[in-house]
Amino acid sequence: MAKIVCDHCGLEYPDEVMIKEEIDGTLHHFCCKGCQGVYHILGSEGLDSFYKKIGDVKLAPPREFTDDVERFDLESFTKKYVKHDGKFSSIALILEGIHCAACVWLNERVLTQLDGIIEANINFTTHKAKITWDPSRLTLSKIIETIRSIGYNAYPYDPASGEERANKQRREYISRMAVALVATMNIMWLALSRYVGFFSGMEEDIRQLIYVAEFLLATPVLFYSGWIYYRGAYYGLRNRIINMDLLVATGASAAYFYSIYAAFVLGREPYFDSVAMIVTFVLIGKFFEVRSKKSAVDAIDTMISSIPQEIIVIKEGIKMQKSIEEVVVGDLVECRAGDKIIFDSTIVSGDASIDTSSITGESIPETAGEGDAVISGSINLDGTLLLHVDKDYQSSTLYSIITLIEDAINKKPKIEQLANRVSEYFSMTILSIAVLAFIGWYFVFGSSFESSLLITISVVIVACPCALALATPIATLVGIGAAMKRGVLFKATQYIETLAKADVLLMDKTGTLTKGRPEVVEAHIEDAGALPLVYALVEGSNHPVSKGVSSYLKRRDDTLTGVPVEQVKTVQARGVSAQYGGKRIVGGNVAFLQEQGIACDIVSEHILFVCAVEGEIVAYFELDDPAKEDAAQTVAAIRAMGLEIMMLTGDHENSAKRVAEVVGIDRYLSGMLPAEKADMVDRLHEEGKVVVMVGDGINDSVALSKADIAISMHSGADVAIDVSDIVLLDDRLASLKTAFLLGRRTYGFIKQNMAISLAYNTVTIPLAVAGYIIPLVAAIAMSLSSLMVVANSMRIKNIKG
Amino acid sequence: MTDTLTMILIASLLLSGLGIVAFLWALKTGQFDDEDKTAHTVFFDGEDELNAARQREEKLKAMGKKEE
Repeated sequence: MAKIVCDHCGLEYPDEVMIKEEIDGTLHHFCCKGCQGVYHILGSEGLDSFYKKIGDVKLAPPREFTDDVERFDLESFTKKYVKHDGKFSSIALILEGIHCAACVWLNERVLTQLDGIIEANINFTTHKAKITWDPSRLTLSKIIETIRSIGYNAYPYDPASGEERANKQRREYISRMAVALVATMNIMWLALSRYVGFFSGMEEDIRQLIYVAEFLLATPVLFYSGWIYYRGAYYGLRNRIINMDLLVATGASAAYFYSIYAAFVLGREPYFDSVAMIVTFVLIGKFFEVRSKKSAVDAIDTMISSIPQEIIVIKEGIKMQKSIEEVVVGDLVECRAGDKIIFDSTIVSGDASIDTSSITGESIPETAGEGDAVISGSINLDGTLLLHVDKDYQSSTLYSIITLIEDAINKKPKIEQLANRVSEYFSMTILSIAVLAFIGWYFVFGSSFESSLLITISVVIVACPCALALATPIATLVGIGAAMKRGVLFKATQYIETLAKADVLLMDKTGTLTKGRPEVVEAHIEDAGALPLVYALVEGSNHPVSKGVSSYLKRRDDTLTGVPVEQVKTVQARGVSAQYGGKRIVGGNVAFLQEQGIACDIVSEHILFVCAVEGEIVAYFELDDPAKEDAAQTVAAIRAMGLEIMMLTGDHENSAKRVAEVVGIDRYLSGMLPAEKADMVDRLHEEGKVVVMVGDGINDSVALSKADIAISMHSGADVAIDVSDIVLLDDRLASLKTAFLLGRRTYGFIKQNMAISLAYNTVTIPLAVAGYIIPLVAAIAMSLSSLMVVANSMRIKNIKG
Repeated sequence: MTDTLTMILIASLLLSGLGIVAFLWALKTGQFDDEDKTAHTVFFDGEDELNAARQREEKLKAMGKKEE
């Protein structure tokens, strides 16, 4: 069976199923009518360079759409999604089927070639498109039809729900950061020459010149980039909270205004460099926080728009399209192979394998037949089903997961950060000391107003929280960098501290502790000569069990090749049968073999795949979803750090128990629904525990978004990755251990840094209050304390393992 | 000496100011909204793309004229 590559999508299929067509003297092969159609459209539009650009990427063959696109022009629809801006309309779409940069290119090109399109811009990362067009020359349905005609699909979504705001905020931070970075870097070299000049001598006018330049650079940093702190301090004060923003704002502005006075009136050393540095570093830390929020918004948009908006309802024998919101309890809906099940319902007729992994975490598809209940969010793998709707869309499991995640992201518990707590007391103390110093000098000792004020300001400046404000961000940035090198991605700086404080670790089973796909654990081969037949049988099937068997056979003997079998028949969720050279081959579970009239009484605690040739059992395989190799070791190491470990799984009791025993977890809960997992997190929160959750499926997403720290595997579901705070890039459980180790180590360094800066302050503040601090000492001490904090933090990298 | 230094300083401050303005302009026009796409643009800079860009400009111009 020679396999031939489809000229459009790049997938391989046997020669005999391909559509052959001669275009300009060369023979082309297409796997389906859809691919053929798209190939012709691209050719006639002059866009066939797409195939050169795409390289080795494989596309999915285009789908056929049954719904009619005219609904996109209905007023109720356009009102909801289309924005009108004078003469032009614009809409936000999520594109389906984007595989690579060439796909983005193709869509943008085809759309801009359409008459009436003003602009089409597609985001490569999120697959979101913004399209502006002239409604007098083009309708929205035509736009969507065009996207579909080249093999993609588009769903509209509502960008007002947080995305626009998140985008604006991100831009704001980037521009403020850019200004701060450029100005600070320039101030640094100016300050450096000034410091050198201090010791080697420097002409007065050159020094003045440098002061002016530093002043010019520091001004935009404080008032443009640092505006965020003034704003934060204002909102904090309005809510009666003294926060880090207030501390940075007062410290930086006091230093700034004193510097102007010192440099241009007194002719002394200014602190413009310290002002710029503190604003810049704290700003970078804040930016990481903002960025992690945006990707969570993206995840929910994608999840909602992957749900089809319309479904086929059968009423009195007539099929009709209905919007999913209009479907009521008791309706009969049709669900074809590959479709997502949208409603919690009961099967009226038909049977199929149902992949519930995204909801329950169960790794192996379940067989469902007449009378069985199916949950929304699962996927119908292979049969056509007629479903009786038990719950409407708004009360379905799928919908409730989406709303739960949305809620949880907005209400994520915040563990109070050490720096915030310390800074609250610190800034209160400093401000009161400064006021007291002023009262003391002016009223008690009768100094002049000017010199009293100068002493007060010098207290605030000397206490300028440089080292304190740097203590956390520098340590966490170094910690995050070290983690990144070891395959652990922290999405925001504050998570490293929260992770260090964690008490409980909740772990999902499927995909986290286990490999997530069934593998053969025991093979019983009665007749090795029949293996090519068995291989041919399983190779053609996409069922995870067949895949497990075929990869086992290939591993066992990689010279094994299948024989060309005929009349392959897949019986949904049970097995496969085929003919070869007049022999009948059957493979499947025990029930399937008995149905085929083959005597079979094998019993196993694992999943069974039995193969028979001409009624004789030639081999059977026991399959299981095995634990990852490093699971037991990691669990033991993390427990040794003093964490409580629990396993939560949607799987049934037996397989949960088996895995728990292998990896050494004594507390586990099985058969848990997504909401129950999330409840578990809530319960632990009530007990005052700091909860870390590790998971990788949509079913874990709710619990992940509720946990204090959510960790996911890089291979997990997109939603899970996006709601997570930490991603293990190499999918190894050992990285989890690294994350905990680094988190604790970094937290230790944060504490050390704070001790350094507080020690510095206890020495210098009394001196400043007494009026003994000369600007030179202040400048050197200030730089020295910051340097010590930075140098100390660099040691975080020297971690073993 | 001081004059030279002043000139150098003014020149370098102006240059970095120019850089910042250019960056902020690019940011504002949405050129940094998509970090990954920009990385891939090097693969799409053939004759085709130049033509497409010209077509788009012309189209925008034609539309702009109609509006007046």
